[in-house]
Amino acid sequence: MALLHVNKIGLAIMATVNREKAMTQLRILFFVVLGMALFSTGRLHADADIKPILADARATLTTVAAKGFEWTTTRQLIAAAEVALAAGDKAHSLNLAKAALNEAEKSLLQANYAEAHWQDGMPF
Amino acid sequence: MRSLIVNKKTNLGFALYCLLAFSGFAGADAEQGLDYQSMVQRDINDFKAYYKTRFPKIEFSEYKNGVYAIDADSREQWLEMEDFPPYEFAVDEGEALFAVRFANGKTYADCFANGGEGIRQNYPYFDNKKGQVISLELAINDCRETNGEQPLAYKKGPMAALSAYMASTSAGNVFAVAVANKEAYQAYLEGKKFFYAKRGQLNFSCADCHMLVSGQKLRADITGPALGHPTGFPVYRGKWQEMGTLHRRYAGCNKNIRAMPLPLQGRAYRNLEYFQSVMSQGLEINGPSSRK
Repeated sequence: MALLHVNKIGLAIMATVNREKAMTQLRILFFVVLGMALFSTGRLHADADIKPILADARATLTTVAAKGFEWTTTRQLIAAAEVALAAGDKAHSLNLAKAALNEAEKSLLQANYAEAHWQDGMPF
Repeated sequence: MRSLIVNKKTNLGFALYCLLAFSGFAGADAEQGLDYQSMVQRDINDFKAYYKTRFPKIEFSEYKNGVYAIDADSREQWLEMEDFPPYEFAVDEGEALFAVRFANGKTYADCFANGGEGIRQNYPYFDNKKGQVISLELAINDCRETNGEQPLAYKKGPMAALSAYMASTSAGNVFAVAVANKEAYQAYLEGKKFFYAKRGQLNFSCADCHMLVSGQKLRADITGPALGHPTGFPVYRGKWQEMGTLHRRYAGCNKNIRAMPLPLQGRAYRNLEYFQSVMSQGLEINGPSSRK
């Protein structure tokens, strides 16, 4: 009887351990699924965002060029991003497109600043 | 009493109208009466004074020699090079080209004052009819097109040779570029703005290199003073191993600071040349010349 009682306690302990194991497994599974979901969303995000960023970079560059403040490197970055996109290297293309947009925006800031503050460059 | 108040209001309104109208006319008169050449002369004085402070031992007339005016070592090398001037061939070529008759029988001499000789110091000038700055190179192509010929490229080759020959006939003449009216002053101001505005990925202005750090080393080269920049062009440049025009040099400078070069003989570069030539007022033409 005492042995039976001990067994019941043992079974209860084992059941608790199994439940925790199951919970741990569930947790691991949750994080694996979450990770996969995040990864696949990132990929989809990259695919969708490259073209609008490139379009923005081109439009900003056109504005800057009209002001005479285009940088020599921006057009090259846009071209490289297009080549990478055509070759299917989307992550690289996204990086290049972002760099191109960043440059185009900075050169526009430079042009606007120069328009308003060019006298600051006079050393007398 | 009421009519008096109304009359007072009317009188006050009339007085205000007269005041505004008068001040409007007065403004217009003031604008018409602006002495643009005097305004520009103040800039010239400031520009020259800057270099006088920066290089107190250098005579003003020396600035026609660019960096060779301020750096003894470079000057020594340059003077040795001048024993056999590398631009002589271009002058000869330019003289031959200048004499060639167009298909209609006319020549370049027919397009320019004094047959095109000894006139370099008058360029660039502001053409009131065309409303823009006319450089020597633009005038050469204008002459060609007026006579039914194809325009020449502005960077080098025959254009640089023709410009070199015309400059050589003007050696010793003093730059005499005027800013006579509002439109000319506007073009001058555009050139001035270009000169002092920072541009390119390196965020440099013309003034940064050729005023603030003139005489100091940028990598292996010493930057020349902006005063007198246009006097020696076109030049034979060691880096190019050939002749090139002033606007070719502008484009090269822009590339160096990672700014996209603008069209040669476009409005922006011509206005810049106008500003630089005005700043070099009083210096002798000594083009063509040689540079590193």
